[in-house]
Amino acid sequence: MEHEQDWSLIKKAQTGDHGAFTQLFQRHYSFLYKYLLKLTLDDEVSADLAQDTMLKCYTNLSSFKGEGKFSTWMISISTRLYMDLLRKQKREKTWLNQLKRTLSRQLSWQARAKGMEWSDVFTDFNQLEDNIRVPILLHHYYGYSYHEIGQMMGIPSGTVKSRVHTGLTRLRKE
Amino acid sequence: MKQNEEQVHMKKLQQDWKQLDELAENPSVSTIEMKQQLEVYQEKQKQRFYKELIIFFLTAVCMLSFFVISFVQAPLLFIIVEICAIIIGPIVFYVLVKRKKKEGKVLL
Repeated sequence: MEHEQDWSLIKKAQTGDHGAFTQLFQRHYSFLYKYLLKLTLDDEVSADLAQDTMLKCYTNLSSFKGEGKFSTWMISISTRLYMDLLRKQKREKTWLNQLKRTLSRQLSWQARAKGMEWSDVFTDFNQLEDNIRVPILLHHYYGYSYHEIGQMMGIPSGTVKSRVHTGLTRLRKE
Repeated sequence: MKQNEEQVHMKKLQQDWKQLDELAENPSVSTIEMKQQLEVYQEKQKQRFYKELIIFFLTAVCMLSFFVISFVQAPLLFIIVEICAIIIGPIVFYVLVKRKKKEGKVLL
């Protein structure tokens, strides 16, 4: 049902209907933003990346064939954008590698206000390389298969499997 | 033993990710804001298109002039350039197709 509604909006949006596109994107915005938040741990960066994803989706909507879910397509675009952003940041500031990745100040404040606490595994997980974090998150939280993740990241499914395995082994040792 | 430990870790992680979802609550973006962003983006794309078109025409005119001059003034140079193009052309084409295929995978 949801897929059908999406598909009808996509068809309208492909003919240049801005209203249909905004409606389509709004339906999936929360899902996208929450995914990006888990990667970036920063609300502002997540919102910026979500906006970039929207524009990329808009540009490439004609190439969406509807073989998979729209949300999966959107997530794959946002993952690529996130990886590009990291590469850019690394080029600009090499010291960024040495920084610990933690929740943004705003999120930390909100979490404290709500009395939330984070496990040690969460801290360790966020120190892993991004090409390891992304497949673990996609597989173990969103339930995507290795094959789907491979397609999203443009790598073979075997590589995805080994990255997930490496990541989990490192979490166990830390 | 190892698997048990992994499962415990995953459960903790999933709990933390759920907490992050709760922190985000119900994020939304306004329709007006989105439409404005799309309009600005379209305008930028249009400007970019015209810029590229001008560059394309200028490059084409330069190349054409070069080929005509070399054909009339130095035929040997013309033949050398043509041979190089025959060799390099397919390589560039192969690289571009390969890159396009890689990008295509992301767009499912």
